[in-house]
Amino acid sequence: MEKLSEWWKKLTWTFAPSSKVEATKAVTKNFILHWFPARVTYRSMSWSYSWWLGTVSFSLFLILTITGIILMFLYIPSVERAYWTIKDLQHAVSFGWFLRNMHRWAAHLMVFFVTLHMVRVFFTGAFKNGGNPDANRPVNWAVGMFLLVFTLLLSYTGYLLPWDQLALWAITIGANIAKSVPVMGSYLHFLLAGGTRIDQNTLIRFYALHVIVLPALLLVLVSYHMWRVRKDGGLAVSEQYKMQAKKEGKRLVPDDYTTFAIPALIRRAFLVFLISLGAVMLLSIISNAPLEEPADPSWTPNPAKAPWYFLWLQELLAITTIRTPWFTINGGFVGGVVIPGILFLWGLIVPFIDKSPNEATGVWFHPSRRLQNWTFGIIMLILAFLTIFAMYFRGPSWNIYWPWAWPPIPHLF
Amino acid sequence: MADNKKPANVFEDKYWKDSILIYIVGIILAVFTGIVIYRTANPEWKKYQREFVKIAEKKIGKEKVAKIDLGIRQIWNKELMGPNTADRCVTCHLGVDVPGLEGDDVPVVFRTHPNPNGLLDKHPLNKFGCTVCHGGLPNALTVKEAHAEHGVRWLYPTYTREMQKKYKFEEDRLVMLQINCNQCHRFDKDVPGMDYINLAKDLVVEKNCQSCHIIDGYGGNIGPNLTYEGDKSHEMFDIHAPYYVIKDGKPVESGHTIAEEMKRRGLPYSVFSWHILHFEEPRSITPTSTMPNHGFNKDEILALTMLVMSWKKVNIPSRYLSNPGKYQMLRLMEEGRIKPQKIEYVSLASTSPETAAETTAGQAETAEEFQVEETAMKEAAESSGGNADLAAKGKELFGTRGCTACHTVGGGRLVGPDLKGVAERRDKQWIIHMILNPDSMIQNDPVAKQLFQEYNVPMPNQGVTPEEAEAIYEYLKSASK
Repeated sequence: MEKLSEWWKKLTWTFAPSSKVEATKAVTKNFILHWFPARVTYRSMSWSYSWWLGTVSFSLFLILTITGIILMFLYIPSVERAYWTIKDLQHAVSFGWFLRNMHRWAAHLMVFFVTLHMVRVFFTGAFKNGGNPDANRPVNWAVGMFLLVFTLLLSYTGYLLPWDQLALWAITIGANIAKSVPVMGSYLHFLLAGGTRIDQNTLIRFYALHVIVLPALLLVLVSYHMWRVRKDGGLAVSEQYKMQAKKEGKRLVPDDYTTFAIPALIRRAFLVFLISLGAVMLLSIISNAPLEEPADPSWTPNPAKAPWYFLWLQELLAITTIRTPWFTINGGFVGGVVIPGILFLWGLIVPFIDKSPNEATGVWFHPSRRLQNWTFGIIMLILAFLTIFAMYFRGPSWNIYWPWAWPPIPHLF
Repeated sequence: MADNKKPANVFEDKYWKDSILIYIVGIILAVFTGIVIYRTANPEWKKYQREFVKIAEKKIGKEKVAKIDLGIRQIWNKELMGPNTADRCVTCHLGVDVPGLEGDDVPVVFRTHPNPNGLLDKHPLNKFGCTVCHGGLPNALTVKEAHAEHGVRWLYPTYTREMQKKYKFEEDRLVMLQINCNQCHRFDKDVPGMDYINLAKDLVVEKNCQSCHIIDGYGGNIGPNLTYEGDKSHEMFDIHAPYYVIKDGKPVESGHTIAEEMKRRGLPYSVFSWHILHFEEPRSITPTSTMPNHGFNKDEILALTMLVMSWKKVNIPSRYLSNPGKYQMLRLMEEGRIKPQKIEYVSLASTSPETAAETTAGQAETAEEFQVEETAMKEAAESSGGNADLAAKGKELFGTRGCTACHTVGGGRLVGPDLKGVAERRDKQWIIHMILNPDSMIQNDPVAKQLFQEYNVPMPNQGVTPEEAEAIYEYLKSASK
């Protein structure tokens, strides 16, 4: 018995260390927790610095993985059957409604929180190395940009799977944006759709991308992202301690500015996970995921709208399309390719052109970064405005209406 | 351990409050989990099943009720419904196939399904299910979704008495589901229990709608093709176009839209309402429409609306179709493999494989018959003189062959000219030709050409036989005096 408990102790670790050595060992002895450092700075732990948005995003990814795997047992990726498996989830499968709602809400929230996470990193100047020669935060920022794209792609591919009108037409609009890429647009569309129109081939492609390819890529990339955070010396705000010590000519003693990952960091990460889970559960209880009529290629809903996170693109497309009696300039290229392309490239290189001093690293709205923050803030505001405008103020035929004054569309009966 | 004695190594948990938060959030999550389990364990349909057992036990006794399976129930006929959908209506409507639950003391939800005209003997419940006739969303298990009530994204709601009230049916019976009967009975006439559709089909013959519209793959080109009118997407009906009123025989903008007109009359914004308004006065919707106002009464309008909305492409195995050969014929016509021809409707009582074959064969021979009839016409023309009997017959034909849709005799100009005095204006040969071959006349005859330019509507070929044309001429001659 004695021996058994000794073995058990060797295999596990403590969440309530009685000594610092034990606290350190708890992390180093564990494979998964090796993502985390043994020690974490107090400012990294604070709620108000990071809002724990990265942790929220990863928690949502976990929820999506778990609910997604269960949904894979219940869903059939066929144009004849997909819709009805979803209907069965809603009505006949035990907990089916809850699983689907969780997956849907977590997906929307993940897009939202990953974006917020990016906004936070920008406004705090957290992609800056802050004079730390070992850090390479601009790379992690770029990895983050790709993670955002992967998140959008995951959500977009999942959007098609219910095979209802909402899915079919949102994907059609998205795929048409890809079509407007010059020269290779139609090839790109063909590759994406597996044919010239959205049909069974598209569904199986999107399904494979959604359940294995994209999640696997995302998992690899997100693991690297988190590992990099550790290798870069923790959150950017940690650099502030070193700079301050240098200024005051003091030697930094770890105990003065750090605590142990176990239990502080792990416990708070778990708390954030639980809160995220609670939020997703609550939303799933009070609001059902939508399911419209079965997909019908012969009938376009009016208006047909892209998923909300691509609505700014659709709106850009609409307003960059110029119609004159003599010629029409299709906005697909400018609004669908040039502008988002410029935004993405600017995003990738912005850490390198940001020449603000080291003091601005890990500080909210540092005065030396006023120009950068205003530029970024205005871009984000414009995107948010375009999204909201397209969501609530664009009615039938993409005309402008007050959200409460949409003209009624007739039903059959 | 030795380290423990050194104060520097004593671990201090500064974030102990997080543990309390974890417990609090944990309790909230437990509550949420409880709600989720409760909701899954208590779906809406269980409430109905409990209620049913209570009522049925009182009415037919515990023993019989005990034999009824509870839980999620469904009718599934793979052949008819496909592999994906099943009618789960019987989960709540537990009494449909239980004899003894008739009568007003049983709530409608639980009542035994009535069997008028032996309906259920021909359409057994366990084979046909429910939605094929009643509409609604199969697979669904909540009232709102299953009935596809307003707000549910499903195009075909369950036909209910409430819906009928909205469209001002003066019936206590469910009649709108006849729309669905006509999916399989499209080429039948006088079907017991399909009184509205039967009426509408008679009107189609009487007014000769096919002279202007292609219906069942055959007819004129003046109006739109109505063969699959019921499949037209609801999004294609522009209810925000102006609504017109007829003043002095001319459409004048009323100042409000079609949608507003629907609202004024208490009609739902729907395709069904659109058809009602359109049958009432076609030019109130499309001011340039050449479709005449046939003066249908309210029941006729409702019946015709139901009929046109029933004209859909069906994907039903042929052994469920009444008269599958005619569905096949329509398909062949669409594929261009046979010549467009009129598909005659057959009285349901007389439908047997032999008669169906006969009628089909009979139609293919029309071209030969025409030759024979043409000779007969010439003979008749030679021996013609004023003939009161013939004129009387002609008067009847003038009504039934669809002439009245466009012409009056002394009643003023409609779509086509007033025919009073036409026998004096034109010679007999011209009139007979115009009736028999309007297309070639409009192309070749200078007078007919001029008339077409004036009226802008080509006269359709009504399929009148030469004898009939003779009779109609006699009538026009006598009426002109």
